[in-house]
Amino acid sequence: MSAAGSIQIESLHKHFAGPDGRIVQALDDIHLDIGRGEFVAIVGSSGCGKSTLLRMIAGLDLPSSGRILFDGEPVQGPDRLRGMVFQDPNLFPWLTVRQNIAFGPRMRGRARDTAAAVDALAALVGLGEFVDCWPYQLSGGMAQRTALARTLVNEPEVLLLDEPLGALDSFTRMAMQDEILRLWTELRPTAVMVTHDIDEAIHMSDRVVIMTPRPGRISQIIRVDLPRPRDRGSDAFLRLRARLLEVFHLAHRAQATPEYSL
Amino acid sequence: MFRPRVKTETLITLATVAVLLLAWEAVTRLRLATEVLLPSPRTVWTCFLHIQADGYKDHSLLQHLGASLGRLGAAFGLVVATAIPLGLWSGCNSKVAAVLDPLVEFVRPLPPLAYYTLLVLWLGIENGSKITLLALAGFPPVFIACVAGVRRVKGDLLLCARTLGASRGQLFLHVVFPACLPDIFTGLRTALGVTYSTLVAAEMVAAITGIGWMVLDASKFLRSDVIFVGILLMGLTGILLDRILRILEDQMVPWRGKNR
Repeated sequence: MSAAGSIQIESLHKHFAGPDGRIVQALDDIHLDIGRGEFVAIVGSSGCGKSTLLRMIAGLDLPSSGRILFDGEPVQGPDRLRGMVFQDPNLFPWLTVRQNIAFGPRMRGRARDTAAAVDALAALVGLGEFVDCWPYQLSGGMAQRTALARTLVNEPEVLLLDEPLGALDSFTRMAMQDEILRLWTELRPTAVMVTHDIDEAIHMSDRVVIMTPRPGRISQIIRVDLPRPRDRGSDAFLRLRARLLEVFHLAHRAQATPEYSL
Repeated sequence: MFRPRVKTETLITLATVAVLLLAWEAVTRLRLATEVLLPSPRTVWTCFLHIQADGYKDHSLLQHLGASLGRLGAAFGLVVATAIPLGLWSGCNSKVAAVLDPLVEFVRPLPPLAYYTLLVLWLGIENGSKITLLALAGFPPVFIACVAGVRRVKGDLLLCARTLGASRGQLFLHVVFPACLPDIFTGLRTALGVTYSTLVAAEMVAAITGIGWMVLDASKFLRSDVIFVGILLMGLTGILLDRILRILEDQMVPWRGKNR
């Protein structure tokens, strides 16, 4: 995959009108540099703006102020080079697995010369036998593999993952974590994953960004210096997990009692 | 939902039809009603054979059927060509909806006979006014189904398509339109029913062909047997046309009713 794919987020603010008409500060003064090929996980409780942040990196939403640079250029809208996988696979029900994966190339008028790549990618995510199935025939894990392949066929420089495994059972979930890591190792896109699962964040990422809600801020960034492939049961893993939980609880206690807030 | 688990259900359907036919036969055998009120199945069958062989009032049965189905087909084609694009456009654009919605809402509940005379005055007494009448009846259900279909398209599906590189124009062609296909077919099937039931009204004035006309003409002479033949033919062709639409739907929307 391409060598590019860096992201700089500078003084990013995002607010919008809430249902009662009041201004909601969704993101407050976010700074974050993500290097090419890096795997960053964003964790935080609901309402901390982590999904909003991811959608803005994708270009589905624009900043109120500040900016997001993608390879040095401001993000102004969606781009296939910043592919996104949602919690719901969002497969097109009228297309087969193969046609779903081929959607991006088809939109660019390159359906014919990418046909082989589509089949290769389907095989890579373990869907080789199912390319002619309809989405309704797939299990949750298979549907999410299809969504992953559909995004990866576009050769994105940045892979944005919005709780992609949130709807899966824990066994499928762990298998899919390793699956995503394998693809990431092979194709080396920059990866930014939103999750609420601390184990998932430690297992997969180079850095864990912890966010707190109201307003959405980055409270801490923790580097995960464990060698890959990682062992979920190793002492180092568990120590880091304990530390992250502590930071997480502290951050939330601070947020829950305003008189001690940062 | 409608998986072909039909064995028992088909039998029940056939049994229902058989029971009705037997009851009909019994009522006439027992002379509970006169031949004018309720002609016997045998009389109706004989009448059918007679019309099939000699035609009804200068035209063969096929000509009558053909005339009706021709008007129906032309009207249906008109509906497909206008209601689908206008409905989809209206669903995508609230300003277009502001123009079209009230007009459709106004026309929809009107009984077709109320404005038929006007159509005849404007478009002449030939097929033009008849086809327009049928098309006006069939337009609202398709239009409304299209608007509803567009509004039901899942927002995330559109966002997803954008991140995959689809332009705004491509969103319509490659996401909105296919996502609306199930609703479009529902609308078409409703429209078929509505236009079909308007057929008799459309053939009331200055027609000399058509199954609807045949029934009306027979009514003047209290030919109950001909009325029965006409009604049965209309009912059966109605079912047949709906079946054709359903087969078409299965071909074009194989994912219908199946989630994820």
